[in-house]
Amino acid sequence: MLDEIYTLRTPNVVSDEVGGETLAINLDTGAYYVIAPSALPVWRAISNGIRPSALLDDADDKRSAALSAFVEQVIAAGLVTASDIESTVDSSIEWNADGLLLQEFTDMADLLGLDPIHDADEVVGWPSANRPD
Amino acid sequence: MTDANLSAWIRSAHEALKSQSIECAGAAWGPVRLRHRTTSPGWFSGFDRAWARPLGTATDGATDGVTIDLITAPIRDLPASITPPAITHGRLGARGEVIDAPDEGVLLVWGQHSGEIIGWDLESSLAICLRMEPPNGYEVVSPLRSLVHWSTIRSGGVLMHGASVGIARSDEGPGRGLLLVGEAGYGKSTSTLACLERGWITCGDDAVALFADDRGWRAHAVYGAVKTKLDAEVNPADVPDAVTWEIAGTKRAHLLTSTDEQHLVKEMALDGIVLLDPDADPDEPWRETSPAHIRTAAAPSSALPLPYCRTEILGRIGQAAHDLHGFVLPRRRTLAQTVEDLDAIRVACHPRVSVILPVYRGAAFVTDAINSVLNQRRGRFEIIVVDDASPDDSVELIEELRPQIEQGGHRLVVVHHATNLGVTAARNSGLRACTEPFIAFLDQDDIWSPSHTEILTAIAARDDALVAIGGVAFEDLGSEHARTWMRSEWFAGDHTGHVLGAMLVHRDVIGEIGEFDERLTAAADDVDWIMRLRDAGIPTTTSADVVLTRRIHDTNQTASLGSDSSDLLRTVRAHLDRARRATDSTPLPVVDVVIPIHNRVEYLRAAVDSARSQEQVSVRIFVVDDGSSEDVAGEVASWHYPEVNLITHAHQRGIGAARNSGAKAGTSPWISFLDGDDLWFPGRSRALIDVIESSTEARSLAHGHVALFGDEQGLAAIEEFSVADAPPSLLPGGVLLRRSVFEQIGLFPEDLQMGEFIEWAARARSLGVVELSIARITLLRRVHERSTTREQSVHTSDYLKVVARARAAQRTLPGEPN
Repeated sequence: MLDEIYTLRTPNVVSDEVGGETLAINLDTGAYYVIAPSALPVWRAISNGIRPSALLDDADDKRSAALSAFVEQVIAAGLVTASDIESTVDSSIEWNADGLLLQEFTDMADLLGLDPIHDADEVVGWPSANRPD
Repeated sequence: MTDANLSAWIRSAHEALKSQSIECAGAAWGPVRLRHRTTSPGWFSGFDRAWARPLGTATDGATDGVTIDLITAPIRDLPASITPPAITHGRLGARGEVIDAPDEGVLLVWGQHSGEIIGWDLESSLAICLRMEPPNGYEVVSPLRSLVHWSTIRSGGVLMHGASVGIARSDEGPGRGLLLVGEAGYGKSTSTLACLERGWITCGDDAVALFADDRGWRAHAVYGAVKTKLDAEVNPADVPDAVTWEIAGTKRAHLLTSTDEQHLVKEMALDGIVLLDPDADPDEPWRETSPAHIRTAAAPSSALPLPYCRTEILGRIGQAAHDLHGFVLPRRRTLAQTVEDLDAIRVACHPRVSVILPVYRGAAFVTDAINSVLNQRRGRFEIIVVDDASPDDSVELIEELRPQIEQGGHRLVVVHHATNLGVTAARNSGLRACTEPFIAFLDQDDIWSPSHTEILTAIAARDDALVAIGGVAFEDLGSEHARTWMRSEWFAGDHTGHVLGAMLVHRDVIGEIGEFDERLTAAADDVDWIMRLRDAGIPTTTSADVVLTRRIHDTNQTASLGSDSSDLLRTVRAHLDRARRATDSTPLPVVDVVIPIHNRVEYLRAAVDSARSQEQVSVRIFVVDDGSSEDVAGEVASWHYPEVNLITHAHQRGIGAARNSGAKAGTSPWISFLDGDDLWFPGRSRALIDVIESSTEARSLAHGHVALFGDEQGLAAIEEFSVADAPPSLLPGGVLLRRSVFEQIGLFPEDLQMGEFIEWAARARSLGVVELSIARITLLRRVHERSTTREQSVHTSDYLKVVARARAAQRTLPGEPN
């Protein structure tokens, strides 16, 4: 698992920094996730095609179990999907095993998961034209 | 004799009579089924014609109610071995009923004068009716009254002494109407016949079973006769198949044979209870009355003549009186006037709903949408069409429906946008135009179910909720194109409708929650608004019944694409902030926001909204109207924002004076400024506070980068701005500081028309106030013709004054060289 390559499962998952906090929404389930600031470097790395194993110093890295758990959690949440495009970005990041926290919330699931349809077409209907193209 | 003995006696009498008896029609009303056998068709077959709905129809197998097996017989048919119970006078109630059995499994009444015994053993549900004499005319047209009463009560309903009249519906479901109550001779039956003659329906005269369910109270027909005095002025010649005969020499019974669903219906939804008042001035208008009045006026005639279960009866009548509208209708000089008044009362019962229907290129669908409103089983509608500068003929199509809308007693209001502002802005325009107590939403391509408003108003009333949400079904209109965003689960069953079209909202909610956030795109504005409803704890109720059909077609667009997704993320973040605030006992920092304005009122709301929606701070907003000729006060009042205060300068005193008025009005620990045509960037206030709080400087102010935007752009484009393109800049709208530091720096100069902020900032510097800059956008400045210069009257000499004062201030600082 740590040797796989992953990428954000777009377009069914959206993730970004909002007001200083990184969030991800699984639009299939309507669950949303808060990625702890301490987990951000690892989240950014694995959701952008860096092999998790590349984040470990060596085979004996004591953080391996925590990293596995985090990757498992991210996969179970449906936030990432397997990819075959490996990132060439430098994978040397600072991270701490204790900081790999991903909080799941489902209190908006009925709103986010069910009905993201909105009549919208530049020619035939909405959306607003007050957005710049 | 004990109850067990009574019970045993009913069972053994039933058993003994069964073999001699033959099957009769029986009857059904609501959840009650009455199976009837008799040993004497000659005496009892008249009962068969009396029932509004004889048993033997398709739904007779219903099991979720009470089913009674009754045998009627002349008492002489009872074998001598079955000894009748020894009932003594000491054990009889005032009206001859046995009073020592009701809680123990047997209901029994002995009418001494009629010589009729009716007994019902509850455990076995066997019942007998034994008579000394054949039933008379009254007893034939409304037979077994006490058994009907008991079984209705035991099924959760109540038998009312009243008549029901109403209007039939051509679509599915029962008609709707009113229950007329009043003592004998008050005109219930006469009014009923007059209504029937005019094409109304009835659900029974004299005795009507009422049951409450999720949709409210319903009348269920028990008997099919309408009884009038012999000299009554109406005779239902126009009611086909009515059998008429005289009873007891004083009345005439008009038997409507059976529930033909044309005149006599088996079921009717009730909107109100009408007390007929024969003593009132016949020219007095009808009026609404209180539940208490209804309860006391309606109860005696139905409850007291019948034994047992009085607590339940009075409780249920009280509940019906509470749930339904109550009216008093004086006896009129003519029946035509009575019917006219009843029609007006019927209409007055309907919930009044404003429907917000934004339209943009909706010609293909909008007629269906409006027709789905007109097809509502219940409701008087104010249809607010917001024409978002639609270039097609949508509005013409809607105007063609105007006669039909107005004929149905509804109203059509068309609000025009000069330019296309988007569905969110259109919804807000609709909200501002609403006048009715309830607000509902309909998108141009969606369709309400006929019972949308009926269900939602009923559950809102039942649960004392301000928001009611029904179910949603999806309909695929097909496409030639692959629609990757479609999800198969949409078409599998129905869904709770967390979409606006499936909601009904009391207008009080808007004052509390505010409007839709126009900075969000159409994909997130409703999600955000619904979450704000929830986070505010607005009482909400739901029903699984489908009230909305969403039509999926080529031009729907999914929220999982494009910038809509960042709006969803922002919506989630705003919700998280509200949730954290609710659980976090640490109070949020309070910021006084001073917004000076001199005209340009069209931009003010966006400015105020950008301050109100700042995360993780609490704001108190002071709008200072510096002698505007435009109606700033009216604009501010129209928002109903509790945190916004308005200060008015009768005459223009300049921007410095305006900022000072706002600053002096506030007392909060933090203060910040915003011009009336600019916008704060989301999150800027908390970020600026954080940088000041984490700084070791004793006196500081904080500011950030400033981006420019054009009139045609909104904050919807917020993600387009980047810090790299926006230089850090010290501008009034970018600055936030502690009030204590502001007081040390002092007020803005009021004699300068330009440069007042520069003078203030220079004074701050000279006092050693440190400027902390953060690397994020804090302010969006609107670029338009009027903002580049202040009305062309640039007083450049003011700048010279500013420089001079700054130099003077530096010179007066202690310890500084002159």
